[in-house]
Amino acid sequence: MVLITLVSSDEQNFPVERELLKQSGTIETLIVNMNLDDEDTDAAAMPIPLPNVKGDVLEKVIQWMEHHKGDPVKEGDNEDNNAEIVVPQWDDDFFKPAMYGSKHLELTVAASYLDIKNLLTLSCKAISNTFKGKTGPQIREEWGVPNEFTPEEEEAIRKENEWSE
Amino acid sequence: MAIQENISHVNLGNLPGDIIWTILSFTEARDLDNFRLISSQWNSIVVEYRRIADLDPVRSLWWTVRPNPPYPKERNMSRELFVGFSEELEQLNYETSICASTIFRGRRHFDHLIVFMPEIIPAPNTDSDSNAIRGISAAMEGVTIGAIEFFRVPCFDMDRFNIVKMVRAHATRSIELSSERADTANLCSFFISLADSGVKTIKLKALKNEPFLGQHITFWEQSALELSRASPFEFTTTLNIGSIFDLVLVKITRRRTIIFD
Repeated sequence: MVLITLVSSDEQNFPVERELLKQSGTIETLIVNMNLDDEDTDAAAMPIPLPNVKGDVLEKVIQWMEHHKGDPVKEGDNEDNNAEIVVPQWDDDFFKPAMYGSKHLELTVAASYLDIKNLLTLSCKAISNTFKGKTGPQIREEWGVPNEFTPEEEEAIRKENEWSE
Repeated sequence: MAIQENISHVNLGNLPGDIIWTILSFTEARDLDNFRLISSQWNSIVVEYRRIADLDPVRSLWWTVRPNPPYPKERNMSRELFVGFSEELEQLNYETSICASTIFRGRRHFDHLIVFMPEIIPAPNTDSDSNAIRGISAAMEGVTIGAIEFFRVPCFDMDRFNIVKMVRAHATRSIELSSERADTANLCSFFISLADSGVKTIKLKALKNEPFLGQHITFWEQSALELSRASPFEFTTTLNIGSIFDLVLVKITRRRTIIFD
């Protein structure tokens, strides 16, 4: 079993099974560019730095990839059937503890950076599920987003919305 | 260091645009507006998303009333059978409750509604078509409509009654009337009722050189003067000559007087 070492932004090392990393478009490209698949290359001696992903987040990403090992990898940006996507129970349970917090968002950002389409899709779907039936201010409150709008700006947007609905 | 800072300060409001875009792709169009108030980043992306995805809300609606044969039977049945929603030549009939939930999709405002009665029904002095106005109004309950064009909708007593009820129910500010089937008796009370309901503009449309609701322009000019004398409103008329249609524009303003205020 070939192991490739990923290095997080806070310099933690994560040896990961080569096969798992096929789910990440970004890492796959780096592996190819660094010739890590060549038999002559000592992959263990060439860690892959991931300066945009913190260790605790990378750990979660790896955990997710381990569970989804062997799943077909989504290709392209096909959003045709987004309305029909359902977050599987395992993923829902996986996301839930960090939902409404920065950890889930960091996981989502990492999925985007690492180009793990299935993780990004499910993560974004899980976020959108929390929005159902809620107003903008309610979503802000639940997610701890500071209000950037002045009362006048907020009123102007509300008026535009009333007009368009 | 800068990267670390960026990572640690991620929140829903400042997510990267491509991620917000992906989240939006999972949401229904009618919910999009809710997300504008999450943050300025979300606001600008939702607006752009709507534009690119061609999700700009429908602001104008045609509603064609075309009773299906056998006409008298259906006419006498529920008003719900009498109204239809039409796009071009395709005629679909819905019950009003279905209209409200599927066609309007929760929209609360339309700029412009055209109620079109394309059939010339050879039964003068009948107000039975007004069932359609009631039906449409019921189907659009809770929706505000900036302007309603009653295109070839008859204008008899019951029609007028229903038109007034409709503009009141939908906070309409402008209406257009164009039908050769009209009764001009009691027009004063009709126009004052419209003005009382908040209507600011009444357009009377007719084919070129044809009378407006069966009356010549001089009738309307004279009526405007009488209406202005008899009510707290000022009615002014302007005649616009077009290549196909002529239009009498009746502007209504509330006069501020000691007597009426």
